[in-house]
Parts: sequence; structure tokens; C-alpha cells
Amino acid sequence: MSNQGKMDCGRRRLVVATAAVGGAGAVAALVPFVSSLLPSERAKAAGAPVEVDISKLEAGQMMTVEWRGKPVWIINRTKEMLETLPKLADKVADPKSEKEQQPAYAKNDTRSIKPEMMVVVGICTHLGCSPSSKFKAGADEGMSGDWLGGFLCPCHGSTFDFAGRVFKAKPAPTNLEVPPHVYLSDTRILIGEDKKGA
Amino acid sequence: MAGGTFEKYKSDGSLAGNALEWVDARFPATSLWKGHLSEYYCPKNFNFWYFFGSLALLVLVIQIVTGIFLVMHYKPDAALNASGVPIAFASVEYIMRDVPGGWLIRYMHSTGASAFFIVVYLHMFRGLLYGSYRKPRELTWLFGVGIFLVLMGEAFFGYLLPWGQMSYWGAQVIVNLFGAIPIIGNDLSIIIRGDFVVGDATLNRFFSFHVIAFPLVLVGLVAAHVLALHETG
Repeated sequence: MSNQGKMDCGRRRLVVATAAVGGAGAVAALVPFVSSLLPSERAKAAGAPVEVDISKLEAGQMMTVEWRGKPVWIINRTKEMLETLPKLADKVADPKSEKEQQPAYAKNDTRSIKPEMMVVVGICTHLGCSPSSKFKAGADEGMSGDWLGGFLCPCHGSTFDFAGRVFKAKPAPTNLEVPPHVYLSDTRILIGEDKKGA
Repeated sequence: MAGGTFEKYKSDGSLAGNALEWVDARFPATSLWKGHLSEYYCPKNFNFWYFFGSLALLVLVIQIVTGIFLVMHYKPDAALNASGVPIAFASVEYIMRDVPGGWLIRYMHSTGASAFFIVVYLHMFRGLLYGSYRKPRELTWLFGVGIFLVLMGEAFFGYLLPWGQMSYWGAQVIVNLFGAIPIIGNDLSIIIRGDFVVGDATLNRFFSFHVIAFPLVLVGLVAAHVLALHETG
């Protein structure tokens, strides 16, 4: 450079201003590209809330509905199933559901709005397999003798109780996710939204 | 050292010689050829471990050529065809069964991907063994790290494209890995998938990344890697 040692401050200011304006322009140009990566209107429509009729779900039964491509389990838990929950408090990793895996209204002992009715996303929080139901207590379903019933993920062996709480020292880091849901009436649940109507 | 010190080609009077002199006056053809290939200095006692860099380059060429031909028949579409098979999966079956030589091209591409990693691992092992990352070759090593990361992404995107069980659940699990990042994880995995679930949007963007975005970056990094290597020798 010929002007070594001497700096033209006016020119320097122009360079900085040009770089700042150009940089802002480049960031602004990024916006449409990044937003195009978000789910499209069609994908959002396909991920709309799902209404479920649970009038035919007997005690001890479980049904699965699809919401946003994920299986959502609705389990009508029996008294015996609910009684297992307090017994497992020292065996599960997060007995009081302190991690944000459920809406505030499901942050209770049964992780549900109505005590017997469990609504939970049936996707293992480890790597996304779908756990299988192992409702029978004891070794009947290939579980250990002290098994009280719940779910077993076949991929890497994570186990969950009837409230979707993960047992300690398993690969899954958190309890199963409780999706936002609301009771439209006694027998109808809307999954994917917290508020009635829309 | 590469470039610079080679004299411009002087024609011997022949037609080809005249043509080369004409080109060389306008483009550093002789200089590039001699600097990076014919007169690039290297020890004559290179051992077995030094083969894998150029072998990786060979595999890259194979992957690009076979890839170009596969894209001529592959369709990234998750919709079901008349027989109830996803169009993407059906187009892979079509390549394997009906396209003349298609099975060979696809196997070259999929086996080539594995070969790429084997060759690159041996190449990295050589680098570790002989300290090829040390001064003044740090940038050569760092470009290589970049190549390795891009290569993993490239392979992952390609793995989804057949749209079979293995590819689908592979994508499901790896995208969920990003979902495990605190706070931003959930939104990040939605941005990666373009949907709440691995679907058509995911398949199409992975196709785009696999055939254009990542290969471009990869080739650029390879060029930088080779230039940095030839600068330090």
C-alpha cells in the first residue's frame, strides 16, 4: 500500500458504513430463505389439533391416535394402575415432573387432567422409537419380577411407568411428553390445543 | 511451492504448440499443470499411508459421476403411487431393476459412500501418525476437519433418499438428536424437518442438500485442502 501509516479517516468511515449496510442487507436476505425452511401452511394444517372420542375406552384400555405424525396414547387407567404410581416415586428419575415435559395442568401426581385418563405422546424421549405396552405386573411379559406395569422401549430398553415417567438409569433423559390437550366434554378430548373453541 | 515460478509455454511451431502458447498467455495452464501435478515436489519415499488422500479424491469423482446418473432416474417424492408404494422408494426399485446398469451405478454410489469413509479414516490416521496437523500445516488439517463434517452430513442426507424403513428411522433418530439440544432443540428439529414429522418436506430438502448444497461446499473445501497442502508441501 502506498498510503502506509496514513489513514484516510473519511474513507475508513465509508468502508465501515458500506460493510454495515451490506451486512444488514445480507441478513435481511437470509430471512425469506430461513423462513422457507419452516413448516409450510399445508404442513401446519396437517398438524392441526385432533379431536378424539373416548366414550368407548374402558378402564385398563389404551387407544392410539395420530397427531403431527406421532402416536398419542390415551390410557384409561384402572385404580390398580394408579396405585402403582406413588410406590415408584423413588425409582423414577423425575417423580414430580419437574422437567418441562407437560403443560402446567398436567404437572401433578398422575401427569393428567383427570386422574384416570392419561394422554401422552408415545415416543421414547431417547431417540424416538415407540415404546410397547407392558401392562401386566411381574415377569409375565418378559419384564423383571418386580415390574408393576408400564412401557418398555424395545430400541434401547428405557422403561416408563403408567404416568409415562422414565425409570432411573435408563437411556431416555426425560419423562414421556404430555401434549397440550383439553376436554371439550366428558368424552371428547382435543389433542394439540389447550383452549376450547377456535 | 505451487504456482508462480514456471515460465510461459513457448511454441515449437506446431499447431498444438501454437494453441498452447495462445492459451498460456491468457490462462495459467502450464503453471497450474506443473505446479500441482507434473512438477509438484514430494518425497520419493512416500509409503502406503500416503495413498489415501488421492484415493479419496478418486472416490469423490466416482460419487459425483454416479450421483449425476442416479439423479436422472430418482424422484424425491414421498407420495404413494398407484400401487401404494412411495414414489421415491419405487424410483429406487426402478433404478435397481429396470434401468440398464442402474443397479451397478447405485451400488457404486452406496458402496462408494462407505469406501469414502474407510479411505478418509485411513487418511486421517496417517495425519495423526505423522503429525501432519502440525505447523505449518494447521490449515490443511482444519480444512480436512471441515471436509469430514460435510461428508458426514452428505452421507446422512443421502441415507434418507431411498425412503425405506432404515432411511426413515435413521433420519428420525438423527433429527431427534438435534431435538435433545436444550431450549432451541425442538424448534431446530422442526426447521431441519420442515414439518412436525419426517415427511415429504424433509425428503425434498435432504435431496436438495445432498445433490447440490453439500457437494458444492465439499468440492470447495477439497480445493482449499489441496491448495493448502501444495503451499506447504
